[in-house]
Amino acid sequence: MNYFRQIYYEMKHQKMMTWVSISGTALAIFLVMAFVMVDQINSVEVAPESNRSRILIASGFHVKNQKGMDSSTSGLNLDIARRLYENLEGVEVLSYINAFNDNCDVNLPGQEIFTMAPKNVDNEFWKIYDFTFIDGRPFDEAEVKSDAKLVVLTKSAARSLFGEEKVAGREIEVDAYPYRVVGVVEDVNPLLSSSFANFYKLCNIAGIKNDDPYFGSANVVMLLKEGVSAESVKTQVENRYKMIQSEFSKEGYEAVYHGQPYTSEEVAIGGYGSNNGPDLDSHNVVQWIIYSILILLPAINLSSMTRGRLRHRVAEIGVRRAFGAKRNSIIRQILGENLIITFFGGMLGLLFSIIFVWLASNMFFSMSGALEQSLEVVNARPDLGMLFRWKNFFWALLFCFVLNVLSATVPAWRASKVEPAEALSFAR
Amino acid sequence: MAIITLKDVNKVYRTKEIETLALENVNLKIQKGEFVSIMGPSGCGKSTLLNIIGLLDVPTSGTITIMDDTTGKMNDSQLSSFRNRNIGFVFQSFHLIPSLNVAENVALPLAYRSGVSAKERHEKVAEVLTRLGLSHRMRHFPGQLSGGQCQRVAIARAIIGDPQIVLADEPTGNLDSKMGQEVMDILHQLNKEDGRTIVMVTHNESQARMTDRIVRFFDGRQVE
Ligand SMILES: Nc1ncnc2c1ncn2[C@@H]1O[C@H](COP(=O)(O)OP(=O)(O)O)[C@@H](O)[C@H]1O
Ligand SMILES: [Mg+2]
Repeated sequence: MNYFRQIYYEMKHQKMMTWVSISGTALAIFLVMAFVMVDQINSVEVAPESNRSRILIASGFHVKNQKGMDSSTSGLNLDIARRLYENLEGVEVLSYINAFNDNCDVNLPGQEIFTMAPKNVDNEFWKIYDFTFIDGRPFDEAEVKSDAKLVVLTKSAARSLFGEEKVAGREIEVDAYPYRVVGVVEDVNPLLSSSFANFYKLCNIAGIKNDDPYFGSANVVMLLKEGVSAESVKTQVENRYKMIQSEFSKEGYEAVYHGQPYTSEEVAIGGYGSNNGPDLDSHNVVQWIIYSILILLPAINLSSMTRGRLRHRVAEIGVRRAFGAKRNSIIRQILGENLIITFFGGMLGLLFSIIFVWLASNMFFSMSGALEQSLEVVNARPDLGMLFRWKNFFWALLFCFVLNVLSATVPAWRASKVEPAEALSFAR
Repeated sequence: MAIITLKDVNKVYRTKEIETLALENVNLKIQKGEFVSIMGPSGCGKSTLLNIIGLLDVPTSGTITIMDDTTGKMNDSQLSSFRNRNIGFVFQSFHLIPSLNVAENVALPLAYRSGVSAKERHEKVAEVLTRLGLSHRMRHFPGQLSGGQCQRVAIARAIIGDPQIVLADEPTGNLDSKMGQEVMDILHQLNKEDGRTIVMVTHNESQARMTDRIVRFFDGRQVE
């Protein structure tokens, strides 16, 4: 309580110095939180990817010539995909997606043509992602078996084509073939790249391109059972790699395992499509180095601010010591008071960083070229709900705490060390 | 019985250029319940003496015994709680904490004493402020009070922890004579009614003559 009093007093009587401290803290937290949020956007759990932590994705395959230098990574061949990923223990749902996802021309017969980004999915897909259906329903198993020409539209695709949303049962043309709409779903934020599309086209696995013995266009998405670790699934997949290796060896090739299937974080930091897997550990090390620098540098500056503010309070500290305050209660008090300033500045900084990341999202998030040319609704901007997260709040609190300890401990310790008599002789 | 005993106390201040002998071979006994005035010209070491008695500073050599405790071997934390329990301070410039209101300033010594509940603290604050005629000023801030009121708040703070010893360094130095007389009356009351031992530095002969004993200093030495 008295801590707040003190800060209120300082705000009134040492305006300049207090506000410099607050803005310095705000700036520090702003910077570090912008970095945190841009990095964390790939693990935010929002619909339709509410189960992100339980979703694993496999899409690439790396084959190496055992003799020569020849080494290549490309999309997964369907047969290999099935041998590697079907019937794994701990997997609740497995879905195949045709990664051959070029933009399509979509229109009503004889009307304006829109360029839209499709996703070619089966019936299982809808069990992994929690889409919100505004109208109709997802594909069912029988429809997928019979390879029916069906689509699920997003709300904005439906609006562009029909001018309305409830269009289940209506007919459209996709690349000049007739399709029927079975459902309409809420739009998906394009940053949720494994579920985003303008519309979803029914895909029977027979339609997945396999023009090569090793490579193809199969993507595998799986939802793990509650409580199953990604590691346990990866271990099983690694063993399956060993099993197919014997066939590959006969032909002088090696199937190189890179830790598939990948979590959303691993997918986000890339590495698929190259001959190396994603290295989450070194990514995290780099992130933490950045965070440390972004906290350490302002802490040094803020520490001189804290010292400046304390200079006005030497006599007060002397009085407290005279009446029985121990050194560590002085230190505790100064840290406590400073924490209020840090939190205040920190929350301002967090707010700014959310607004900034949201407004300047095109600086941080990019869409693949194809998506950029698709429907005008595509905009790589996170929803505010993806940024206003408890997690971000807790990160900011943590950074505030560290910033406070770093910037106030030394000044507080010094202030507590002044002999009471000497402190008291300081004229105010 | 002596409550404060100084034996062969020397205090030397060393700065880069000069060495000041602020106290030279001071031997002083103050009896329990005594009201002692310290007098002497400016710079003769009066404040230094009070700081050393109050355990705010350590002598360069010599020993200080307060209430049978030799203080020389106490560590910082022990000194702090000893001050908290046994010594109250009144300063010339009041030294109230500007960000705290009257009640909070007065409560300060109890805030640093373990085992005092918030309720007890409030009751004690009300009690001492009533005694000093300031109960209606509890929520005021030091900046809103006159000098005399400030010094009364400071006295309330000095006695709230019920210390046996009160040390006052020129307590009326910043006050006009009427307010100064008020403060002197209060100090005498603390001495007579509560039996507290009071050591006061003053430049005022007539104030000093009202006390039990006058100790005079000149150039760091006790001359009387
Ligand atoms: N912290 C200090 N450093 C150096 N010299 C000091 C210090 N405090 C007091 N002195 C010197 O010690 C002497 C006694 O000072 P002080 O006790 O304050 O005198 P008084 O209170 O009698 O006016 C003076 O010469 C003063 O300049
Ligand atoms: Mg003095």
